[in-house]
Amino acid sequence: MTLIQVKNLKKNFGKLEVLKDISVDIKESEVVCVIGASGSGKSTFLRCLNRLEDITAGEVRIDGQNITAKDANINKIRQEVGMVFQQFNLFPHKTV
Amino acid sequence: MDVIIDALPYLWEGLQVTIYIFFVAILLGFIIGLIMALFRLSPWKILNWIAKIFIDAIRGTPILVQLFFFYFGLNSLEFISLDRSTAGIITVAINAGAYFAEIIRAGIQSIDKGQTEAARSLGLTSTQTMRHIILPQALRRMLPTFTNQAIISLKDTSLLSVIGIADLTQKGQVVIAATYKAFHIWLAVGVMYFILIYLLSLLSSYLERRFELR
Repeated sequence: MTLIQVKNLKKNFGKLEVLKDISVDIKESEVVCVIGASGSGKSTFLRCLNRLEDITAGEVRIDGQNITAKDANINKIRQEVGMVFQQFNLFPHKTV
Repeated sequence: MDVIIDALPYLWEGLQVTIYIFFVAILLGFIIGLIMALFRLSPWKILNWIAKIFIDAIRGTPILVQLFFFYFGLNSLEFISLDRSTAGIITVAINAGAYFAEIIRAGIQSIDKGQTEAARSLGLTSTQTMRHIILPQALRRMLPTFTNQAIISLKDTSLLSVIGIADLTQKGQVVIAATYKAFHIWLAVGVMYFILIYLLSLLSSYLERRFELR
């Protein structure tokens, strides 16, 4: 079953095209590795899956839900999506 | 020495007025500052502009002029009537608010962007992120600058004596008018302000230790 579906994803920063027409289907319990030179847009791609970046064109579906739709409850979806950052952040004033 | 001891009850009354005005004004000022800082950082352009104009206007004019504007200026309009203490509190509050706005904005911006992103990717809304993640960290960093502005505002309240508010400075002047002992009285007034401000800075360093990172 497809868990993450990306269709024709495009992301521009101003005039710079970072992500050009990316389509990928990721199934449940599948492990996917994204490889590329630094600055090639790996992190941007991952951030798009979480809508930390607004995408320029295309569609991202998590478990069938279109997260780029205007009426999507992004905060609810984000609670289901785990993410570890390059420099991972702890909230220094919170305890576990 | 007797002069000072005789004057103390009067000065004490004035000190109470000073403390009252200071606390009300600093509280209002903080609220104004927080709102203006959030306006300044808001994605809506119109709110940015309101905050920017407010901050520039207040920082760009002397507090004495603002005081005269709020007391004599507004009262000269037919439809507004502010009493002395209201005008005085408004002046100090708005003045402190403009500086607080910049202190708070700088504090919020000093928190790493990754904190926001981490919070958002856990599914917190932007309001929750601000309230539970950003502000607690930012407020701690702001504390020393915040104290500094509070001390400045406390000293600014002495200006309110020129519109006749019976604060510590005004009471000092009244006592001097009756006794001609300018040296003794101004010295006593100065010591009283000093003690007040010293207590304030002790409170601040206590709070800083209290909220230190563990």
